[in-house]
Amino acid sequence: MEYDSKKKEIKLNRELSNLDKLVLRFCKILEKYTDYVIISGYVSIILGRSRATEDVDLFIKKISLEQFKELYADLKRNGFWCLNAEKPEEIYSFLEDKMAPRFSLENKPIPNFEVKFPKRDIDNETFEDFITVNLKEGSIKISSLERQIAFKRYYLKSDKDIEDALHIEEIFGNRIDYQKNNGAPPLKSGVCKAPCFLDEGNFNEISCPENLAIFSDPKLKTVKLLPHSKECGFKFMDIIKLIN
Amino acid sequence: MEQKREFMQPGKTNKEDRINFVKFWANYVRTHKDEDWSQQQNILINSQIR
Repeated sequence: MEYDSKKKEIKLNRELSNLDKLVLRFCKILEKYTDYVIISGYVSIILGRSRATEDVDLFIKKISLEQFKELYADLKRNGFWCLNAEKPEEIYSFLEDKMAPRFSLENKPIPNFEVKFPKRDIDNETFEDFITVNLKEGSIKISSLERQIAFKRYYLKSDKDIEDALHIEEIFGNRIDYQKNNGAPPLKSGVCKAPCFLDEGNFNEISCPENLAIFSDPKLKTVKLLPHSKECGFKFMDIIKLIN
Repeated sequence: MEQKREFMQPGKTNKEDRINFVKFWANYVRTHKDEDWSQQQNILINSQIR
């Protein structure tokens, strides 16, 4: 596995699984009509995580109803359908209402592709913060390693998600950019950064796993998320303070 | 020369054991060819998705 962080590319000579082949097939159709980035569990899986998944989550850039009709017609011609509705107008209304319609091979609900329009600025930023994985039979776009780790470790936080994040951290080690801050100003001593998902809930405390490195001080054990400022605008970073 | 075998540290709890396996497997992925580890991973994935 070769990772070029400057080019934002991973070269992977892996044997493709049935899931990989299906993902390539789906994304090849998708990219004719819109931009996409794969997020969530499949990112770890394509990079070797020892588990399977029943769905693959993607963001797609917003397109018009007319463009969506063309996309859906192409998917149908190639054996896919939507699990939630038949008419493209109805499926498109789910996307517009910030829901995530699912697409699968006809009559085969799993695996399926959960497709979403971005809801927040931080979702839109995914389209500027992705990696291209070059496989033997094509390429796919996945969210950046840092974004993936942050989302799984600090927002989702289930045992499975923490393991997914850990897998990526162990594979890529010091090639992960723990100082990634989207151009934020330098911080004062004792004040650190964290990924920001505050529109989904309030964080009073974040426990730091043993090998935490996203904070500038790896010895931090407990941190406090300061009240969200209006200026932050739900960016990828926020300010936390060390608690003694 | 025979390669020195790497051992996985068993965990005292289920959670710790799972974390140790994630690290053990990630080390395997890092130190073996893509063709090698992906063949093993695909046994798992392809058994669920045909």
